[in-house]
Amino acid sequence: MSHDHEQDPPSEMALRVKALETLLTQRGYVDPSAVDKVIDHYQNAVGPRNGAKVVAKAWTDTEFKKRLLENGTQTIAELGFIGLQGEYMVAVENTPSVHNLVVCTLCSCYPWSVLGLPPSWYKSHAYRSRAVREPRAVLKEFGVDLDQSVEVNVWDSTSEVRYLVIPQRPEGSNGLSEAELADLVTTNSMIGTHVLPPVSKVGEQL
Amino acid sequence: MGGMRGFGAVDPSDDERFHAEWEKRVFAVCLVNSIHLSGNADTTRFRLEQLPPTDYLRSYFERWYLAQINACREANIINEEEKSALLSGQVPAQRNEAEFALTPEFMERLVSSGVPTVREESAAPAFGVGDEVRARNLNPATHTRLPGYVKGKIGQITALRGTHVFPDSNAKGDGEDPKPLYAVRFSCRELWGDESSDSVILDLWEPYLEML
Repeated sequence: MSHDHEQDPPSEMALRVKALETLLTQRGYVDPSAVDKVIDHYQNAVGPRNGAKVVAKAWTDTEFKKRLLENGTQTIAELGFIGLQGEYMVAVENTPSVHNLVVCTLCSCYPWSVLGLPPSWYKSHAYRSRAVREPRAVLKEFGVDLDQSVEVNVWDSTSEVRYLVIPQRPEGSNGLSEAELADLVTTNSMIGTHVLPPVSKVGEQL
Repeated sequence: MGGMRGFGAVDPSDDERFHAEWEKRVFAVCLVNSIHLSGNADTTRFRLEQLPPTDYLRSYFERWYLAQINACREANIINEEEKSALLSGQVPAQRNEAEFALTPEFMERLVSSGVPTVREESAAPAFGVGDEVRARNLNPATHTRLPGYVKGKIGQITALRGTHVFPDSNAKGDGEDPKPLYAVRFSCRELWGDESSDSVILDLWEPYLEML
């Protein structure tokens, strides 16, 4: 815990969770170093950089992209990205005529092994309830205003299948290396709530 | 929650994975303690759904915490008095002891390898790509992965996903009972009566569907 937090009185939830972890530790159910290991894994080992590498490779390697769209699980595993909540992966591609958006209306299922843990808004009641009913209104809240001619496909993660959106490659990104391309890919673009801007405008977004 | 009204706008700036240290701890404690609780991932989701609605609508990790407390009670890790003490932030005196705890090495392997739900095909899938199907109007009191907003609606099979553990059975402890899983596309016109060309695609198990 950071020193900043220690100066504040701990919240009720902090006390309750501390009591639970203490009891489970004292009685031998939970090894705190295993808890630390899990937190470290999801803060440092896996995260959206994994997905960004998959996307950048799909943009530069047509054979890879073909395999990725046909068999997401195996093809993503080629890059070593396997693990909990990524056991069955399906990649869906955004094109000029189709925009994909991923949600889990039933809980908050998310492809942990390629994107890490979900951002808080993805778990919010507002996103879970509205993404299937009014996807375009939700997209506008993210600054994505799609033309009426673009068809929106919303993927509701009702099973253990997990979805990765391959965003459209930004304009002006020709000549960039795979690693440079991966740096352009945002978390939200792989969920479908962001459209990557042309490369010349990247600076303006920061 | 699909299709429910009243939750307001989405706040894209709320993009942290965790808001506080306790959220990280409870997330990881739930994974590490899972070995001592009865059931599986489906049971865990069922426990979340069994929280009273006012608790369910608390924050994501408060739900995890409350479901974990209930699961510890179910598994007799704690008794009623200890449960009340924990809920008020107190640590009760030692009473029982576990025989083992999952190690950091085990957890590393678990999170890195995952727990697949695909099983051998037990029966040929009843539907094929392109088939028109209706989502059945099933209303079990127990866990299901058939969202309310598609019940009775007509969709089209777009992909076969193989045979997967059936959550409705697995969550109750009645075994995996694997069933074929399909991607089914429903038009927003069919779901919501609007004029859009948009669609929602869900993964639905065979028992949720009937041929038109």
